[in-house]
Amino acid sequence: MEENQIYRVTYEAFSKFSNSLSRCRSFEEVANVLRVNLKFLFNYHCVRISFQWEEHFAHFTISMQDAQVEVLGEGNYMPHEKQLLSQKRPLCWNNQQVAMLPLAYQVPTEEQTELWGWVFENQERCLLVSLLAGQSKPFTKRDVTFVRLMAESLESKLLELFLFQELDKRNEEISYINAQQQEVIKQRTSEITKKNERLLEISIASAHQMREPLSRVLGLVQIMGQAQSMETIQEQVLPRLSKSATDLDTVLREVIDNATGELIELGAD
Amino acid sequence: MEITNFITESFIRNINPAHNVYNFTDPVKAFGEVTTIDPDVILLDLNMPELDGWGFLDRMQESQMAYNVYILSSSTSELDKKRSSTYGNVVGFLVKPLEEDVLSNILETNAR
Repeated sequence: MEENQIYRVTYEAFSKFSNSLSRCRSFEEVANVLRVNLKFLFNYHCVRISFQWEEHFAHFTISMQDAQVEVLGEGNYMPHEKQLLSQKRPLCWNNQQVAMLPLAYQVPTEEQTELWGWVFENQERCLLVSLLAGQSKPFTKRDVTFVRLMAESLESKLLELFLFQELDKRNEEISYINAQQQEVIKQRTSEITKKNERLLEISIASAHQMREPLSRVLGLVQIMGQAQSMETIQEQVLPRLSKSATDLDTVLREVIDNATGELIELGAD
Repeated sequence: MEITNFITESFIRNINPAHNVYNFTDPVKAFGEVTTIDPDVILLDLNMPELDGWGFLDRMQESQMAYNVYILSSSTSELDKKRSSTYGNVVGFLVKPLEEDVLSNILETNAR
């Protein structure tokens, strides 16, 4: 194939990758898209992608058949990734250093493998891409363009997923706070209801206490109206009326004192 | 207590001075004399010293006295009203202050 044609086919593959990626709603879906589409962009035995945003980390390991993702609260970098992080520039390792890869990513020595690595940093975010190529899976400088394109799309997608995750967490927190406030309101309402009941009880009891001397006053006033003489009123009714009025006053004072005491006790402020 | 009785007695005398009124502030003494007096009707205050109205009614029940009793109370409590209806000889529950025409009615219906 002509070089132009190869480019065109690869761009088509990239556009397909891009479309699939934009529809992803989880890190697992992203891993799956990588497993399916990455091999049409460039050659590799395996690819490792690590993304970090603030305290959030996602690590993808993609082979020809498989793709795995770990989402963590702290970085779980491979030794060569730590080197990339400290040097902050593209690196390429020969056979010997490739031995630092986990056993699962080892390939036969006759492959004469090369490990390529890139660092893409952007504000609070950092994306590492590393790729293991060999004689049967050759990787050339020309392919770096697609690594960069892939990294850009992936970086914004992973940030979006982490932001959504954060949003869900915040929403959960808000729901929790709301539920707690509901509980507090319920408790306060029940306290107020109890206080109201108690105050109502006091007012009923008070009314009963006051009725007794008051009924006497009313009775005596009636007798006064029917009395035969002033002497009867002066000698028999008035002293009793006075006593009853005093009793009523005493009861009223007690009621006021009790109610005040209860109010303080109930903390109705 | 003394004043309440004075009021009730005054009312009765005003209705008909011929009625014999026995006025007690001591319920124990009253219970001791009740058979001797043999009253047409008893006006019983619930709130009394030593022996309250309920105790008085219990003693009457024990001694199988069937005198008609009207409860005189300053309380409008439904609970007291209900409890008083469990005694067969309680024929009424009156809330103070007593009205004269109500009292007049009672005296008339219970006169022998």
